Amino acid sequence: MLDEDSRVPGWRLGALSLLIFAAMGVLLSRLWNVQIVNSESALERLEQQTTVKARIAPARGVICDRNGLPLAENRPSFNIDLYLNDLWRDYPQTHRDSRGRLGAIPKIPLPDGKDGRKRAEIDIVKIVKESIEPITQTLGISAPLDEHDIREHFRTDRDLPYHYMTDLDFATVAQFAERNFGVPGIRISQSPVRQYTYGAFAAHILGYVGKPDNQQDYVASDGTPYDTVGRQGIEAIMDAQLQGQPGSTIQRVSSQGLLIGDKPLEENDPTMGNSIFLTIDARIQYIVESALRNAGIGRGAAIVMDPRTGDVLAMASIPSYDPNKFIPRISAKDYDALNNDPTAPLYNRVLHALEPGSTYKIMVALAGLKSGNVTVDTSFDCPGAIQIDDHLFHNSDSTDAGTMSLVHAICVSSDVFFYQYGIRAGIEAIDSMGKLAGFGHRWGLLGASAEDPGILPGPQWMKDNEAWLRKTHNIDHWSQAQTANTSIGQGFVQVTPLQMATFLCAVANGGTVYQPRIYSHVENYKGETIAEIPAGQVFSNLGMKPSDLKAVQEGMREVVEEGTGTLAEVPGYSIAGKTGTAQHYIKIDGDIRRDLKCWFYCYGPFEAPRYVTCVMVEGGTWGGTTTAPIAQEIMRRLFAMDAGAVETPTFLQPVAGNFNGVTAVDLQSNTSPAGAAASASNGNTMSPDDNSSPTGDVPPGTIGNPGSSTKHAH
Amino acid sequence: MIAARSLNPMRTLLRKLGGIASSFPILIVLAALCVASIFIIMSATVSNDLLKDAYSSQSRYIIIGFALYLLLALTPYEILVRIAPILYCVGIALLVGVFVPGLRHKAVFGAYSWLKLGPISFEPAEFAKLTYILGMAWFLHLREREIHYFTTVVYAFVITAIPFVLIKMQPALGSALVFFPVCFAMLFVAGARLRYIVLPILLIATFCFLAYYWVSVKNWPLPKLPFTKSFQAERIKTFFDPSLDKQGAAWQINQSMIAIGSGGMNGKGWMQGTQNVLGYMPKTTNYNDFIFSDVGEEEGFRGGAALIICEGTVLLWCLWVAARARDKIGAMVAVGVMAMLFTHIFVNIGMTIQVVPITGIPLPFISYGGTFLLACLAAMGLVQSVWVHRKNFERI
Repeated sequence: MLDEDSRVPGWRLGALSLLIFAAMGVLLSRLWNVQIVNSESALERLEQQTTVKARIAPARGVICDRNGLPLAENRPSFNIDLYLNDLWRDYPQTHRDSRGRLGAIPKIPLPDGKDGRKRAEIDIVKIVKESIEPITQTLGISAPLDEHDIREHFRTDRDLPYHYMTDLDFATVAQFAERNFGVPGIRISQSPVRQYTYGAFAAHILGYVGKPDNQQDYVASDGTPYDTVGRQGIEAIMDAQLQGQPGSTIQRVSSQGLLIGDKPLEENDPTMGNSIFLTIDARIQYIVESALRNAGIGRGAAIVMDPRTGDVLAMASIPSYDPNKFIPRISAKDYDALNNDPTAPLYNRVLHALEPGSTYKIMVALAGLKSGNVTVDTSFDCPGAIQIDDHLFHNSDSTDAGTMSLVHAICVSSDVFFYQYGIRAGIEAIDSMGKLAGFGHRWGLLGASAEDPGILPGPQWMKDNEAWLRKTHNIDHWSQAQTANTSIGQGFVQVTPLQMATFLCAVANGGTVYQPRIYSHVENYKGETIAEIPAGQVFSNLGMKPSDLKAVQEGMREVVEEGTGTLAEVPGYSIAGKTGTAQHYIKIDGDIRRDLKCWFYCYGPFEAPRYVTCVMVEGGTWGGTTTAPIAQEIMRRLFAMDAGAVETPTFLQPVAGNFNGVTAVDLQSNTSPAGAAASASNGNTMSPDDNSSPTGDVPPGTIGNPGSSTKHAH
Repeated sequence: MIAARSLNPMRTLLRKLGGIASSFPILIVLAALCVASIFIIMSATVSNDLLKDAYSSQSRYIIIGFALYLLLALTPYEILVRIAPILYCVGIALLVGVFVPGLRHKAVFGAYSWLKLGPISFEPAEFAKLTYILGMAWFLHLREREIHYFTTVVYAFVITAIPFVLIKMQPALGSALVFFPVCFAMLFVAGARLRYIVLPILLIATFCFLAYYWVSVKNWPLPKLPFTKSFQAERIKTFFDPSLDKQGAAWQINQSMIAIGSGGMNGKGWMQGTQNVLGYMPKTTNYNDFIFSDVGEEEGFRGGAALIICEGTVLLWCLWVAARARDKIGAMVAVGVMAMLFTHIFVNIGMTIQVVPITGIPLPFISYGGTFLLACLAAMGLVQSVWVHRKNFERI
């Protein structure tokens, strides 16, 4: 049957073998190309799809007091993080229909584009809700989803985890960890968050942290934006130092999005930010905070400085807030409550400029003596009131005090004396002394935006603000009445408690104006000092003859010993001080009210001053009775502390502000009701933020400056 | 045949066994491929809990397969060719069987390609490939004197078209397309006129270019013809440009390219392939159609090249057997088997490294799948039979 001789022609088989060689050659060369020549790109794509990079949030540096006591630290916060990319990619697998087909990814329509075409994007909110709900229901927790926020995050940073819940309690974390919910893209992460150890203690110095307004301004070394930055106080101005550098882990991830292996492939530890050492002494801060609290005031501030160096030792403002409320995120409701509170608890009153009243007379006294136009012995006749520029200027008590000279005038705080003294000294002398003392100048302690420069009024200042003054006050030239008003710290004058304390440091130490300092140095996490601000940097010298300065110091000592500030006397110690009570009007609910700004500043011990204290209370009754006792408590406890008494800082609750002490304006008894009413009626309400422009409405003869605001915008 | 019958059956058997033993190099290659396949399948199914036992089931099929190999090797191939028309018809009948609801297995990935006869399930397409080769050998021998006729080529195409259409209807286009290269190769060695072979090949090449131009360059929709499916246009498109759709149609090829490319020269080691172990490879095909991706990733270029060389050696041996065959029938059987295996090898490996479009056909001796393994080893058994019963077999 079979023909044994018929054979296949050899060339045909040869051709087929060539075909095999060619085909195998094609496969081998292609394989070489794929595996050897182009392996780089494949490896790159492999790493891209099989690894996830997780960012490890860095810890912020610590803020310590001058003795190294940490005031702002870090604590761990547990978060539920959503990896949105994993969630939506996994959605079709977990949402199969009844026939087992893959679910469709939900989409929502977007506004039509320019070309009029219908557009849609992935409905990440629906996906997240469906993924997270079974978990939150099981755990019995609930957190509303900020739909706008999550959509925005999905559009811009979908590779970074979205913090769905932050600061979980340990019980929830344990429950979450115990159950394997098996949902890729939902993970627990731990990140360090801020903790303010002592609550509202030094809140206005430390400030707080929060989400940045513009993330692009705060980018870490790895290019990712920081999600928490300093918003106020030291936290804000030292943010670049406090921020640590984030670390990262690279971990293998399976096609279902589950992490593989216990150990990451690559781990870069985050570095902690640098620590800031304040010049604040926590014990002194505690003394100041508790003294203000003990006084039961509704609004006020106090500052303690070291006259030998210009270091700020304590600084407190009331009302206050607990910065821990901002951690990890403050609710919109809480923030609005703080921000819209008319007593402005977020505001640091130590840096807020107000009329200094009679405390300003010390500067005027020095200005006069330095000018040579008056001497320590120059005396003035001091009746109940005097006529200046057709206006009658009253003394505060309107009684005839006879003839007096400077030391006694300081002691009894005679307005009529200082009207004449100031006019004799001349506004130029007052102006140049004010400039040396740093009035009208931002010290920049906690950043320019947090501080008012105040106003050092004079002819030059008037020229600079001519248009504004003409418009709002109908004033076009500097008058003697204005010099008189300035001499008693009224009229246009505005100073901050910080400026007053800095000035008093110079008075106490013999005339050297130090640049105030609130932080001394920066240490890295290893404890190495990497930046330093030397103590006692000289801003200027008042240039006083020692005998002249001595006379003014003597006058201030008499204030405490027998004058207006006797309530500040500390038994066993000699201190020098000055009271002040400035007329001030505010508008509450449309009504003009009197809101006296009471001041007291002092230094001691008189022989070798170690402390300068300045206390300011809004809505007080009189400097001598409202603020002197507070200063007395501070000084007394400072001296006691130096003598061995123990002051232990503790956690402080914030103090709520109030308008107690604000009195109705009695039109009959007011020295110049017409002026007050007139000025208030022009509706000149301005925010303290733009105090660089002149404020107040002082027609000649008017005492008081009703230009103020009833609401402090923050 | 008469001489063989006159011999002592025991001596004949020993002679035949000696004939098998004389081809020990190819036996070693086949054994090596099959043993390697166990390990490769073990690794490829590591992330798939449902297929934990795949490798042991494969090893059972390997044993059955070699028994079948031995049996066919000892069987004179003329006997099989003589009954080839019947075998061919049985093959066709089984292919029709998958359209009978009572007989067919439930659809696997959308295709009715399995037949369930009592306790055993198998893919009749693989069986049909063998019976087709025998059938063609029978037919071409029958037409030996008319081999130059055009009608011979036409009839051969009809014989080829029947299983092609039936398998295409399952639908399994890739598997169905295997029949044409086999047809051409067998016509070629049978001595058909070159133009009858070259012309259709040119036609097909033109068609392929047209498809590329039509679908990929111009992006025109496929004409609505009975043999076109919408996903085929996608596959053509993504073959020419896999970056078109990262998550959709091109996903398999992308993952395969990543796996193989990242394997480098030495590979990542057995059971160490990132893509494989972490489940990035297509779950349903990485142990059969895309098994070469696992080899490339875990064993690197060295392993992949060794595999290609081993498979190529098997093909060359088939040609060698064809050259030494006693008659044209033997040569045609050997070449038919060679063409069938060649198509599988080239298309399967080629699609994982983007040489040919994705078509779901398995890699001989390596891919998981009992029916196909048995078909391959049986096919090699046929070639072995051609070798054992070669021209000077009587004189051994």
